[in-house]
Amino acid sequence: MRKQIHLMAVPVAVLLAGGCASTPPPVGELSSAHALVSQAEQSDAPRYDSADLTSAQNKLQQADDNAKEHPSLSARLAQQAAVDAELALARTRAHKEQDALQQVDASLAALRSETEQPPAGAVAPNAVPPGGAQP
Amino acid sequence: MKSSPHLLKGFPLGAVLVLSACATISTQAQSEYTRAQTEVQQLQTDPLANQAAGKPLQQARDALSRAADAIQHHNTADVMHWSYLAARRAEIGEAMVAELRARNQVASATAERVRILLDSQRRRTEVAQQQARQAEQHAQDASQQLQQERQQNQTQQAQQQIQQAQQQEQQAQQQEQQAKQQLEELQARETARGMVLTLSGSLLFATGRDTVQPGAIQSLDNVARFMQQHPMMKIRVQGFTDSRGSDELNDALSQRRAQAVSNALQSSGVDPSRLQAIGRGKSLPVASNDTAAGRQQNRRVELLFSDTAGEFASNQSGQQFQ
Repeated sequence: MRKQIHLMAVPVAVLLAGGCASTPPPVGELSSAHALVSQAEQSDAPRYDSADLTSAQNKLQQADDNAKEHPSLSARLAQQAAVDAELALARTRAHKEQDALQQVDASLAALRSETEQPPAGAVAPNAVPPGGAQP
Repeated sequence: MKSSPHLLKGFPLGAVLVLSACATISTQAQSEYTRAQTEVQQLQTDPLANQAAGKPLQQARDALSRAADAIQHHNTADVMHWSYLAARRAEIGEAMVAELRARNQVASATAERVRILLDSQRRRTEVAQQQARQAEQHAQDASQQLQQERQQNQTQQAQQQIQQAQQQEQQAQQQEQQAKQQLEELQARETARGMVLTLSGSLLFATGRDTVQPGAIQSLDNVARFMQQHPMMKIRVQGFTDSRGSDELNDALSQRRAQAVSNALQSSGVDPSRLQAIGRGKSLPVASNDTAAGRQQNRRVELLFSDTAGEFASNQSGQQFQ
């Protein structure tokens, strides 16, 4: 839903920015957006946050398409593509860290069930007197 | 005018401006701005925001402030653009906060894991030490018990041996006593050398002869029967003469007579190894040689008995002076 709203924002912006056509293409915005989008493409973002990555790619494409004829619109599309790519990267890192946490939690739970049962199970067969194994 | 600072305090600046200038920007831009505000507020109320997402938070605030400026200038496109950037920056910050939160939890879970492992290791070690102590105690107990049992056994054995020895000694004493009584019945008498049975020469032999007369055989048979009842006992058969005649003749005669008595005992069933014949001639007279009666007493054969174990009271086999 959110993507639809943003894409709808583009024609409005185009209409408003249409007046001034004599400015040069937004080279700086475009190159930093390209760098961030390709960084996101090479990360695990396609797996963890494809929605934001796709949004970034679409906006970057539109920014490239409008670079000469509508440089002001192109600059804003490039800024939005860059911020989308940054968000894809950040969410990917957060997801990976949460995956790691799940694994650690699972192994911790397994360890707890391993170590908290043995004292009851290991002490009894060896007939340690009550209270003997307590720390 | 009094209510206006109240309004400014209660609502974000942008919202106030939107309300005052609503006619000139689109409702879509208004809602985009409101959404961005909500995102930024949400981020900055998170306690981890400054630590984890200082930069995106600042960028989001800057973008939000630009959006507010755009509202003031009635620029819908700018409001949309900066609101979008502000919202996305805030979301980036939230992702970074989530990442840090997860990383902190991973760290504490890892620490917890290490603590559990160390704890369980320590518990296992304690259990093992406890078991080792118990095993050592059991071994000590067992060894003590074994020692006690050994000591008891040894004591019992020693007591048994003592009892056996006492019984044997009693039996030996009884045998000795019995032998003595029997010998006394045979007319033997007790001397320092042991029990001695004196056989008169006149009963045993004719004068100058060394052949035992039939009348004496009966008493030698009694001796032989006694010897069968005490199989360890030995006899020294000692021959004596009176003082008449030469020493050579007397010694030889006494030896022959002792041997003759020994042979007679042998014939009655006494093993020769238990007999020793010794001629003592005129030595050790028991009466005066000056009278005929005295000389007759001196002509004799003495049977000296050992104890029931075969030991003589004095070990001097050739004693001349007793």
